[in-house]
Amino acid sequence: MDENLHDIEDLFHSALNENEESPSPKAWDEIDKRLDKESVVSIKKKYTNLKRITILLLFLLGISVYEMNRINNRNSLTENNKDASESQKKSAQPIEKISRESQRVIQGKSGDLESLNNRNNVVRENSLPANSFNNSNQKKVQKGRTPDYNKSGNQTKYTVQKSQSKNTNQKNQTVFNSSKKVKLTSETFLTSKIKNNDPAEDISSFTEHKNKREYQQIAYYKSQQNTRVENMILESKELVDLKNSPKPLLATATKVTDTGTRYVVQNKTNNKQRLSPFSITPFFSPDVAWYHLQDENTNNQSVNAADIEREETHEFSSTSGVLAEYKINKHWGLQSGITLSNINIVTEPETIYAQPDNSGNVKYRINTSSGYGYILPSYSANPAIGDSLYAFTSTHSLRYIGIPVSVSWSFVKNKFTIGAQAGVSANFLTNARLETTVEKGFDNSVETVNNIQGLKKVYLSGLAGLGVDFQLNKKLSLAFAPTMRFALNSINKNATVKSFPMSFGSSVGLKIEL
Amino acid sequence: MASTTINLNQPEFLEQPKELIQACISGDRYSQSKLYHQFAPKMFAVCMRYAKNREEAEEVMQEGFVQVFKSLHNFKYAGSFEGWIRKIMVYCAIQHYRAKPKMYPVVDIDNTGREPICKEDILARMQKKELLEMVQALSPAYRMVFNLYVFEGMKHREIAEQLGISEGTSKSNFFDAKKILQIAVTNSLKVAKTY
Repeated sequence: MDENLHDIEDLFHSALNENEESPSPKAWDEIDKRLDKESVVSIKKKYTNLKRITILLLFLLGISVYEMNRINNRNSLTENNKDASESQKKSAQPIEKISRESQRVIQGKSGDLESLNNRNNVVRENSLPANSFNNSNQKKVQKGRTPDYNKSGNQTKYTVQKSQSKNTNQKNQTVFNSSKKVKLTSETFLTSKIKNNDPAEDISSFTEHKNKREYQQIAYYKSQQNTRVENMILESKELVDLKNSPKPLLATATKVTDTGTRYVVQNKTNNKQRLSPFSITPFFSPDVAWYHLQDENTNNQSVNAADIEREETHEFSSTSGVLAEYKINKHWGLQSGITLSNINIVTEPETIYAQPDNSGNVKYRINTSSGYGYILPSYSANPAIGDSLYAFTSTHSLRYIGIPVSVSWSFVKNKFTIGAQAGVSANFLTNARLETTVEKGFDNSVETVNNIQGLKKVYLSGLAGLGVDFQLNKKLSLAFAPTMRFALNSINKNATVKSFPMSFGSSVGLKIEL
Repeated sequence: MASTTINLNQPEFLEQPKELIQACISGDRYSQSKLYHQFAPKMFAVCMRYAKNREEAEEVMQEGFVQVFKSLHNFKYAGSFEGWIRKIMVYCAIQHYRAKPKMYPVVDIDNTGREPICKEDILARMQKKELLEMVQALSPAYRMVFNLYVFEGMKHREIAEQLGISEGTSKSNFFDAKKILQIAVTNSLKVAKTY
């Protein structure tokens, strides 16, 4: 082998290391296409993730609402239990009297109806009402009829219907609140009272020892918030005068109906139901939109912000979506959700010029405030740089999905809730489309650009507004909120101008308390 | 469709790489196009050495640039940006080689009739294109080892790791590749002398 060719690698290295070769122009087109595909895939992936996040958030929201309701109910039960014990303490004094009186009655075996009646009045006042009829001002006695006291063994039946029993002061009422028929004789009831001097203890002992099962069931029904109790039967040897019985002690609406020998008692709690701190508001807002434009230092100085501002007109724009609000306390709340906004802008007719696009191909360039696009009409397939074309009205539209986060403050005045809110929103570009009509001899052709260049995929905006809600009913309110939205950064980059979208809209929605 | 080549001497192509890189990371296609046109000639020459022909080289280069744009956010501005792109191109060439079914080199070394000649003479008498064609004419395995050793400065151990071969095979392939190239250069010079 030749000595001089021994270092042949050096020969190749020095000859080829700094070599340059021009690839074919098609190479960039291929890369461009592949990048487009990659971009489409990544957008798809991004929105798949967004969907997943949305589903997760909704799921968490659902769980939170459920938990909050549960906690509220528990708190309510606790409060009502406190009320119940207080009322029991209050009623302890008169019940003590009953015990003594009843004792006397039994011991004396008095046949005197009047005295019996009096005694039963007292019993009625202190035992039953304290538990089942423990109610206020809405007591109604329909077809009031005095029971026949002369008939011994006369049977008086009570039907207690309880809807939404948050009022758990009925610890004793729970004795009767069974779907089962619970038969009690006033004698038994009385005896149990006589056994002990402390009537409250008696009642609880009755509850705990004789009706444990019922008690447990009732506890379950209470938790279900829907208890129906029927046919609580008092086989009364001692008679009860409902008509003349004193007003109930506690604040629950009671309806007593005498149907022959049966008294139907309906309890309705007056307790205000606590609503969840969550609410959702689907809304629609027609917007007055405009751009704040700034010149950008690009190589294309043929147009500037002032020119574009003069040539463009904003058409109907709107924002719609769903907002969820969480009330932190009486006045403050957090709001978030998802919005869909669209911006439509019309550009006046203008002459457009051919110039190399990003791939080096010569096409006609249209400049807009949002970005720029290239068109190549089929009848003008090979333009030279500087060739011109007359474009009639061009329209471009942008669609964004926004995720707003805001803080709200409000106060209630009668049926109105008046408030203010401020926050930010991340806006994701979902669609950008430019459509123009260009001259074609005696005819015109419509050219569409589905990818406006220079637009950022995300921009941030701030929002501030006032709000008035009119309460339609417990759960629904009509919401009206004039809101100002303003871009915090430009929506484009390396475009002809920097654009900052602004809009003022009056959103109308329906607020649903959860 | 008419197409024009962008003039890289235009001021817009002489901007700072950092700004250009940032614009490319944000997905701006115009900046990506500029970056491509700035580095494509050098990178295409690299790909040509690793490929059998222009088509294959373009394929590798396209893949390389797509990877460049996807990985730009990983560039730390620590070393040469051109070197970083070049590494990606070489990596894509290796991937391209490894993805192909293995071909065994047929070594046909003709040792006859060589004349003493110096490197400068050879370079003066031969065109770069001719030398490039000689490298391209090597079998894929020889070409890969030769390129990685001579142009990327890799050790045989590293080459063996990259190509999934033994170090001995790498050395042997390099030795054979050199022999083939020596013969090719000699023959080429002979032909040139005849004319």
